Amino acid sequence: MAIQWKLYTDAALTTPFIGTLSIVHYTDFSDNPQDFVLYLGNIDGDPADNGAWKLVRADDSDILLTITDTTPGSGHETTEIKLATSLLDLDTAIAGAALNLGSELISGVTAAQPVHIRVTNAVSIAGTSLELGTSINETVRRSAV
Amino acid sequence: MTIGSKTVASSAVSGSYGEIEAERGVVTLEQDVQFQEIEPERQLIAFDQDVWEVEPARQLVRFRQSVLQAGATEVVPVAYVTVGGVDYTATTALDTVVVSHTEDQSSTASVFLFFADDAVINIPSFHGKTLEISTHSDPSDINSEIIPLFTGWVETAKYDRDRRGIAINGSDLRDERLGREDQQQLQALTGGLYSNVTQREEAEGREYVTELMKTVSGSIGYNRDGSLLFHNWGTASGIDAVYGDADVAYDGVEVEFQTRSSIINSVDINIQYQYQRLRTLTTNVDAYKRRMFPVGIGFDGRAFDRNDMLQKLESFSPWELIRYTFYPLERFKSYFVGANRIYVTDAAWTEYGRTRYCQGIDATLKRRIAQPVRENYSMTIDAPQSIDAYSETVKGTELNFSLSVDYDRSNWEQDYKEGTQVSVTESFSYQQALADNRRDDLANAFDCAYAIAKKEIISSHRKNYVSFDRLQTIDQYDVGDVIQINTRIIQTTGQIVSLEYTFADGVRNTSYKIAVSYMDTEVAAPIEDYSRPDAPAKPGIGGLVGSSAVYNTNDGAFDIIIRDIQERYTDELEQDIDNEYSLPIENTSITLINGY
Repeated sequence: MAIQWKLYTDAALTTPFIGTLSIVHYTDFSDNPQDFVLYLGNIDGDPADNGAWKLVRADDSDILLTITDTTPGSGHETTEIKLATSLLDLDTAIAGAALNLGSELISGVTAAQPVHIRVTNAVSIAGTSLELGTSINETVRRSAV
Repeated sequence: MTIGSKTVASSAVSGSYGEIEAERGVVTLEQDVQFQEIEPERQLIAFDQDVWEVEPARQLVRFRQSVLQAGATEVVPVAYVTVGGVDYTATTALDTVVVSHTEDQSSTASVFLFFADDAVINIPSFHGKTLEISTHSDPSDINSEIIPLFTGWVETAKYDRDRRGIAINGSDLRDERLGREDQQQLQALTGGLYSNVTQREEAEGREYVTELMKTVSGSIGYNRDGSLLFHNWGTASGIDAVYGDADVAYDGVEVEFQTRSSIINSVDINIQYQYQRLRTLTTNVDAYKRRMFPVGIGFDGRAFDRNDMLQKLESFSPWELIRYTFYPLERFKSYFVGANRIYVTDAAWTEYGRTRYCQGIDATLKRRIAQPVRENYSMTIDAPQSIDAYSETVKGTELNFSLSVDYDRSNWEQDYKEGTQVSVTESFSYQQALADNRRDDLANAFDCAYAIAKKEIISSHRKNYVSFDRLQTIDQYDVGDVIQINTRIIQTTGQIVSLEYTFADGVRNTSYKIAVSYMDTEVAAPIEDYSRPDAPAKPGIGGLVGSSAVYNTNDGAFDIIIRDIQERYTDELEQDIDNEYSLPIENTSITLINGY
């Protein structure tokens, strides 16, 4: 199936995010915290920025970005990650909590949804990990008309 | 066949007049008239249906977190290698990492993983697991964008005792994964066509993909990041990168020209379509004998029972009695034989007799024939530019297809009765539609066959290759992207058909192989003029068959002969339709200069 809603590294949705956010931490936590911003949007299906499509959930519940851990209880934990829709909200966001994007997202550049990420390392042992991630639940794309 | 009865009068003077049956009782008709109100055709339910596209749950971000000792220098790995979701970069021999992407083939990767001496190697950690290879866009900046190079699975793993590790080859399992893609999605993505007539019937899975792609002048596969990738052949999509002298390694440039014997610039297609043309043949039987039919010195005064006449005509199956008119009973009158007057009392000449008997019948009978018709479509696709370039019309494999309508002739020839139809026109149209119900399949077959031939011709002309390397750079391009190379040695534009990334000691290269469609001709590209062949005019649906009805006085009956149906109504009709098409081929110039 054709996925149109993707993450981009810029608000103009010109540079797709490849999928891996590479972060370097130090054992003395001197790098904490590190903030990033990505943009969730649909430009493939709406290049003219007409708001032609909506992204919703089939049961009309809210769209969530959840933080996942492939090895809970060891290594990096989901509480290292905070998600928010604005930089200001990152301060008050709950670490490890899912980000609620509301009941619908609209296609096009102007409606791109910023996703602010704050990573605060809590691991003091040197090593490389790929255990943490952020996932979106199943959604449906429908015409906005 | 004879029709006749003898009507004997109860008081005949001479001759035979036949038998008069007893008068029968009055027929009483009982009719119930029911009140009927017509409810017009109307819509009862309107379905308002929305079809939504599902975007599956998926991971959007994966965090690669490298924790370093405080004060440690950031070392940017040559490449990141992940097996089964676990990072193996630190134990990968980064002097032998090779990733290859080739058009219409599975992408491959090869890495070598070290394992600690005397450690038990955890086989499930790599056997059949995912394999991902990526690298930084800037090899000196740990924060630079990460470029995926390969996304696939461990295909083979071989223990190398000397090197103390496992040599792994990865594959993106292109064919297997394409077989699991949604067929409709693939058709929409590629614009491919599928027909049970021109391609393997009921193809599923990867077979379906193979059959579908026969009609697509393009290629499909998977991207470096594992997403589905389709591209049309040709450089019309625009140039994605331009490389000059400073961008390309001066040695290693290779130009390979097309093999002459691989050229195909003309393809013949033959498609046969067989259906049944439903005919209705008509014959008119006009059987009349006058009441006072002279025989010798007297007369044959026979008349005929109407019911008997009808029954006989109705027994001519498969001829169907459609219309009839009786010749009314005539009176047998007195007559002279010489000077003698013969007086006659015509016992049949009563009110009853006039309704019972007749002098003959004028009847129309019809018979239905389902005549097989074969339409032979011949399509020739030529590429005039190539024919001029190579001074020959080089034929490819002739494509032959056929389809026929499965129609039971007995439906028309035996079971159908015109007399029982509410609307003959509508019922005939319905039957004819059944006997010629694969026009849509035929139209689809035309399109598919043309697309198959087109691909065969185009593919045979894009086999001029230019290969070159770009050193110390990993380029974010994919198979299908268009590269323009403007170096001192070679200047041309082509489409990437092979891309290879190589990491070794001091090596971080991207190797290209681009395909160029080139011909030595000044002939302008024709305008592609394909359109479906028009169906020929259909044969007529009628026909007349002669018949005769002669009264035989010896038998006292009519000899009716319906002639044999002519072969032109029964034998298979063949209609030939020829079409020729011109196909343009992209012709890109190549400038090649000998030198260093």
